[in-house]
Amino acid sequence: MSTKACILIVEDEPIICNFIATTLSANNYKVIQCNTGKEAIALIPSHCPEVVLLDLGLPDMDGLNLLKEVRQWTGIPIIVISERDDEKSKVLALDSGADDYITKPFGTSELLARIRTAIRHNTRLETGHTFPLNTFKAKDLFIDFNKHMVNVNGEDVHLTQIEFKLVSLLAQSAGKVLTYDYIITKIWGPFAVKDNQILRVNMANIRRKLEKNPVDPEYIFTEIGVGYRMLEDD
Amino acid sequence: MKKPHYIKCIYDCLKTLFILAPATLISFIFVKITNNNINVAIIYILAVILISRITDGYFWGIISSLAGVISMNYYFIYPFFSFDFTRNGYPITSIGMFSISLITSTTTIHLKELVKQANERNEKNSKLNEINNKLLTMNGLKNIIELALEYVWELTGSTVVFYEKSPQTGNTGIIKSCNPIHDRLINSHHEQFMAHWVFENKKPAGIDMGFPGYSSCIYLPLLSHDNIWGVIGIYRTAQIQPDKNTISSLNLIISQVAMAIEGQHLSDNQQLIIIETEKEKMRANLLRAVSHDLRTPLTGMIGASETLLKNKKYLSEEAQNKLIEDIYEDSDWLLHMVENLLSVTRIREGNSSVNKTPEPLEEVVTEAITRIRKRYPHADIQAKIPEDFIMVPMDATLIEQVIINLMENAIKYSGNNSPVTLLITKGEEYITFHVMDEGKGIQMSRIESIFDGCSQTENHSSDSSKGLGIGLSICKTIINSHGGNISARNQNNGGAVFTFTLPLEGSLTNEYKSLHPDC
Repeated sequence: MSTKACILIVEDEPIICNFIATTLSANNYKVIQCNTGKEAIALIPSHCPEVVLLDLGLPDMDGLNLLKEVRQWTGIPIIVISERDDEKSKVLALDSGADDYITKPFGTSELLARIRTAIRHNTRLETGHTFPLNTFKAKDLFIDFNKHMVNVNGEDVHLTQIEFKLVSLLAQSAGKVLTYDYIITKIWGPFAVKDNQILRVNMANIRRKLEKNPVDPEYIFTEIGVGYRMLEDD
Repeated sequence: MKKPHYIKCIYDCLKTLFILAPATLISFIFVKITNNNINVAIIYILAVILISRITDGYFWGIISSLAGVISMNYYFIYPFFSFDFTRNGYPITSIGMFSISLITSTTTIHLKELVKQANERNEKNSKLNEINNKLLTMNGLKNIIELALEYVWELTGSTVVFYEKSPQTGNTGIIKSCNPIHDRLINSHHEQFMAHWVFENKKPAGIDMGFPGYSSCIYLPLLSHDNIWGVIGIYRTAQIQPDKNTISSLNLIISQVAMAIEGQHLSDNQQLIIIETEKEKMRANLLRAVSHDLRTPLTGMIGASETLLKNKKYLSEEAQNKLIEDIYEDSDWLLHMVENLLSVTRIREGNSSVNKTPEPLEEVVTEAITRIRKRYPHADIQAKIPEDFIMVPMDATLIEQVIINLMENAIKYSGNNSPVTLLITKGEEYITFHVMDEGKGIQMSRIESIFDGCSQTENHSSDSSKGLGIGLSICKTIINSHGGNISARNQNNGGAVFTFTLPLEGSLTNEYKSLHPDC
């Protein structure tokens, strides 16, 4: 990376804050740390960080409220740091505008991968370059959005209309978790029943068509209780 | 069905005639043969006694004694076939005969009454005894209430309602009904208020019970030791008054029911206390096991990091790396432990059941395997699941935890780097998971107690089996609270198999797809 991307860490736990900061600095990022929500609100407009890492449990305010407030005036990528075992707050965070989430405890490689994805998505958005995508390629999966074509290992995969819509939606935001509600609204419309049964049956069919072993998927990953994530494109 | 009053009257009248007429006839024959009228009085008195015995009340006895005196005078005393009460000595005979027949008839009738009452009392007593016995042997509040309703219903012959708590707290009464119209009346606001009033004041209310306002029922409180255990309402219209006997039996039944309900409450409470103690014991055991298991890796981590901090310059780089690796491994184990403990808190307090939602089997399995892969990148994991799309009702996080625990055990403790297989089969009512390894298997002595949470026997150092015990006992808790079963055994060709089942009840299989061909 030629210019150092700036990352704001909003986390009240000093040990975790320290570990993230050290890791990020070692990986050539510029790091700003802050411990409270109020500080974060002041720092975001003044420093314009490329990515915000936000812990949901802050001492002075609810991380979700901070998220909503920030989202009113900026679209910068926000990655939420959350506890495991709490699907509801993950979904809430994603639906309130978070770009991604990472579950405590997390390894450094996972964190770095998420940050890279977030930055790349944002650059695409800002430059308008290759967005919306015309084609998508990850490992042996190839999608041509204009021709409605899906290829695995060079072989055509026949998807139904809805299945293709689902795959393209996931591919457009590859690397990002899309929540059940988000997907249902996008595919079946805002007034569709918020029952994810149909969605999951469709996903099961897609998995059978795309994956060699549906139990050991390569392309579409399940985040139980939250949603689905497509493998990042090459 | 009781005969109407007038028919009974006619019957009694006929009976009287049918006894008096033969008596007169016999007297005639007697007088003809012996030419002596001494025994006529005796025959008539006998007739009067008979009549008193088979007719109802005093009336026919008195009438027949009067008729006896008159007909004796008319037929058998000189002058025959005419009345003459003035003949010498006769008034005494007449009055004597009349009073004797009167006294004997009234005595007979009184005796009859007494016998009848005694019989009734006996019947009532045996009935109460029966109720009492049944109430005592009855288990469960619902059964007691049903029985009470049955008896009160039988006794009064009208619609009966039972409230365990005041209807104004949202409690709906149990109604044993004779007529749907009664039900509607009983469920009206006014009647519910009456029942509520009884709960508040612990006094009977309703018709004739001194409560102001009109009501179609009487409400009786079930009182025992100054506590109110319920209210029984009996529907009746103001016209039909229950007799005294019914009321007294009713009161007896009600006090017995109250006692039975109190007894039931007491035994329920005791049961609760026992369960509570048992749970407390389990919690304490788990806590003890956990603190023991947590101390080991913590000691390692503290020791290693302290060594690094203080003696870094004396250590070779290799030794330093080894220490850091140890810290990493121990903390990883700790995390695994904590996740296990967290899952236990997801099992709802109290009724030890879980929040089940239908989840696609393959997604849960996939996530579990993905997470194991992350932790053990070199493990050889194979999964075979049914081709069909199966939705299984479960708490996905918990079942994921179980799969992870079992597979992790298989990877860690099978003793070699052998493949670990997850095989899932679908039965009629259950879906069965098998986690198989090809390692050294489980020691026979531990198979029995492996899920008990304290599998560290004296022969095993706590380190070699750390976490295994708690992990498996948590698996058992999770599976049991899902209504499934978990077991362990060894395969014939070596290697251990852990098997657990989940009930499929209410799940969606691929019929769903055929119903929704468009998806």
